[in-house]
Amino acid sequence: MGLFASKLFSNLFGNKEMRILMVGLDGAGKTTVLYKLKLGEVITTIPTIGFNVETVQYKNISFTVWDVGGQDRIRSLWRHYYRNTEGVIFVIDSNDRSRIGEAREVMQRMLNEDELRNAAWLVFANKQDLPEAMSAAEITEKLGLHSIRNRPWFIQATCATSGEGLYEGLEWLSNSLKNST
Amino acid sequence: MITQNSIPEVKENFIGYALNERRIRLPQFQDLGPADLITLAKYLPTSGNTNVINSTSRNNGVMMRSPAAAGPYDTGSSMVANGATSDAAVTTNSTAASIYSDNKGTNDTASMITEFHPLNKLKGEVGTFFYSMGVDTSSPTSIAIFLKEISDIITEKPQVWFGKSKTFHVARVSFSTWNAFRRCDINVIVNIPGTIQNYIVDCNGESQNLEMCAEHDLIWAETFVSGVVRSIMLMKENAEEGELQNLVETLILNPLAAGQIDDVAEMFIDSFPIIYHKGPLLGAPYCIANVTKTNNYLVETLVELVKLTRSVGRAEVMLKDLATDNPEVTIILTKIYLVCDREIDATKLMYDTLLRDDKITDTNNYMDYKSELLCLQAQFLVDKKQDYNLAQNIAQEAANCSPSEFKPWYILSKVYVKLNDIENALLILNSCPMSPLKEKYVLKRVVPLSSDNSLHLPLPIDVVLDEVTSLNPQDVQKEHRSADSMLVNLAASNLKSTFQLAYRLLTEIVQITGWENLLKYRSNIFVMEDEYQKSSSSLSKSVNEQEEVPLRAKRLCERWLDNLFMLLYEDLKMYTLWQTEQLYMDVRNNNHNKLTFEWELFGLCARRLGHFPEAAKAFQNGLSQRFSPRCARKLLEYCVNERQRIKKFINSPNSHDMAPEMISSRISELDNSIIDLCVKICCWNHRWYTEFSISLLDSLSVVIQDMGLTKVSNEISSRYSETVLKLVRENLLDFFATGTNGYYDA
Repeated sequence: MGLFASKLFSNLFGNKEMRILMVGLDGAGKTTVLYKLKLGEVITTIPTIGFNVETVQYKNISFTVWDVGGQDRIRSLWRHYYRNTEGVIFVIDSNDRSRIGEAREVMQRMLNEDELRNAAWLVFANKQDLPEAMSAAEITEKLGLHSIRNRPWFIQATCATSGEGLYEGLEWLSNSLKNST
Repeated sequence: MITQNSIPEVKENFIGYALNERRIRLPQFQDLGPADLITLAKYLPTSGNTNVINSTSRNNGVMMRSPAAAGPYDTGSSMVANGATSDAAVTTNSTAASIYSDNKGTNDTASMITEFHPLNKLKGEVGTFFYSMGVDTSSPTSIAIFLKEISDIITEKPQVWFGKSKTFHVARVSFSTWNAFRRCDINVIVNIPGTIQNYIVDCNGESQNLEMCAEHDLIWAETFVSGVVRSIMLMKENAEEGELQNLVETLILNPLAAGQIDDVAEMFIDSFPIIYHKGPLLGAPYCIANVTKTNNYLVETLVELVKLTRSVGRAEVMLKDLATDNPEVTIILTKIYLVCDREIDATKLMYDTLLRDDKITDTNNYMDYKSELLCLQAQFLVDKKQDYNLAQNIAQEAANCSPSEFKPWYILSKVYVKLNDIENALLILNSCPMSPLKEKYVLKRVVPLSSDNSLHLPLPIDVVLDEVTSLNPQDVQKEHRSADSMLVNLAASNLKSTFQLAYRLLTEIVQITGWENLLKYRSNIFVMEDEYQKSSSSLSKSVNEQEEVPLRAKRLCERWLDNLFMLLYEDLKMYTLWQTEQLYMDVRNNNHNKLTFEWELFGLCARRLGHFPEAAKAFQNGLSQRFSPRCARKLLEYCVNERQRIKKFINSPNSHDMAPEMISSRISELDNSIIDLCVKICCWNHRWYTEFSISLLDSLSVVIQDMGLTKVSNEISSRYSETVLKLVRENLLDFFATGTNGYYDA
């Protein structure tokens, strides 16, 4: 009774759940994004070993966000998180021109994964506060986002330290969830 | 693949019980240490408690500063108190910050285990735990991935939990693994939601955040190696007992297939130089008295690992490099050459090393190293070359170098047996130094079970092989109770370690001499009880001088050897009894009507006495009535040995009287039996949460070597269901395909 009833009630009050996987190269700002969203605070982070997972309530959706370490050696482990993922947030360090190509490669490989074929794709062009940061438009081009077919995608300029753009990103994700159900 | 039904769980009386018990017992862990421990905190989600989780997630896995913790592992009641205060204690958001800032200190970490979610408020919450072997523990990331997998498996579908269907969520999952080198426990805790934390806990109960440790890379390497050594040595040390392990609540995985980031075998070989010098800390197999750097569990594991994965190339490079500063390392390379069919390289290396023996600079163990090399040579001559005369001199010299080691004496005695010199064989056997109390490595229950009802032992329904899966332990128990007590009480079946080996030699001797003659030899060379009484009670020495001389030339028989004679008598008596009974039955065309358990015991007796075909027949009889894992394993061993024995006939046409067609058809027959038995035992293992077996891999390898993987796979698929094939593929065939450096043909 318990589980069924709670599902019933949650729909009445409109509480949905969405499972999000947040990836990106090391140092892109994923953990900072996660805890800015969760706590409203900017925390000092260390390179993520394994993962962090937090639930973030936005409007009537409970986002479970899995923030996974982005170091080169452990990227092969991302596949363990693909199952049941409804949305991917790919975080880019907009200031890191030397590795944007690497980011593109990594992202394109992910887009081809069968287990992620139904996932909505949100790109955070992070660290916009830095003077030399690439713009969202430039990053769109460098990542080849326009070549994405058959899935909803969106790029959002963000600054995790100030929080700018983060909720707008969640807004887009929540809309894409609404549209998919 | 692990499924919900292949994970055993034990219910905790209160959450945190298992971790607490383990922590209390840390100082008692010896040598290789216990199996890894996994604990889960599960609950039933409702919209109510999901909010609770959300609001307190800021506490998750974070090291709390609340001083409320009375002690690290208090009882459940104080947990409620802690839970409550932790809620109240969160006034600012700095708690999450504490994950990332400089935090350590025993107070914080001590309370870390108890102050998770205030789980007492969660509906249907239950703590569970189980043990595991073979998980990749090379880094916190690889452990985290494994824990997440377990958590996903538990929560993916409703679980049949003690008769009810429950859809659990996992709030926390932890992993504890023993670093045998520096005697401390590594704990990885994953909170969902939350973050991952690693702690190192020493025997005083002091814990520290592992990431803050200076040597944390080295610590992880040691932890990783400890885990692999445990996995492999558990199998090797218990091979004679059919790799039986009694801790039912354990999930046993193949360590060599477990690598999450890198290949485990490669990591092990690459890490070897770093920990080589600490090898002796792990201890050594039971028959080794002096643990040296080249004779210990670490080296045994390396050799076995290289053999299984056929990584000779990589190991060779690493060892040759290591040998530049540590010349005794050539012994290890020799061992590897010998098990990997590189006999010429091995002999050359042994010869070169002995010639240049002044190079072995570690003079403390110089004699041990020399003796080891000589033992390797002698063993090789006995096993492969059957050159017993040459072996005799070498084994003698080895015994001279290290007289307190069992092995050189054992080999020497064996050589005398092969040379039919019974008196010397017995005398040398009598002189063998027996290591009395050293036990094999077995898994011990670290956390006591709270009650019989706390075990959740699911039946894996993904793979069903009728006769195997449906074997009812209760029926087997009934058989045990009603079996012939004389058979059950044959004491020789309980022999362990060096005594078991000595007994084997004794049976080899009696096969040559027969019982009556053996007794004659015995009285010729050993002082018998009545002679001793006579001489010690005589008053005049001079009168007895003539009798004394022969007495002085005799030896006193060691008590343990005397005991073995008595056990041998019981075995021989039983064997003769059964054989006579069988003949009688055959003549009258009667059925035997023995229980499978009785066939099993008789087969073991026959095997002990070296009557292998008779033993095999007994095991087959047993299996014809019901599945028996022990019969199956011993029959498998027989088939493999027989196959290899006959295979040699192909190359030496004059040593036998089998026509070539007969040879190939017999081998084909044996191959099919081997495959069948491997499949059945694999299914049986799977039913008991064991997905790894070295003996199965070794057995199947001899067939795959000749038949190729595809053919073997096809054979299995033609005889068994899809699910069985899938299991065998995952647990056995895939390893041969991808984990053996391309050694086997596809």
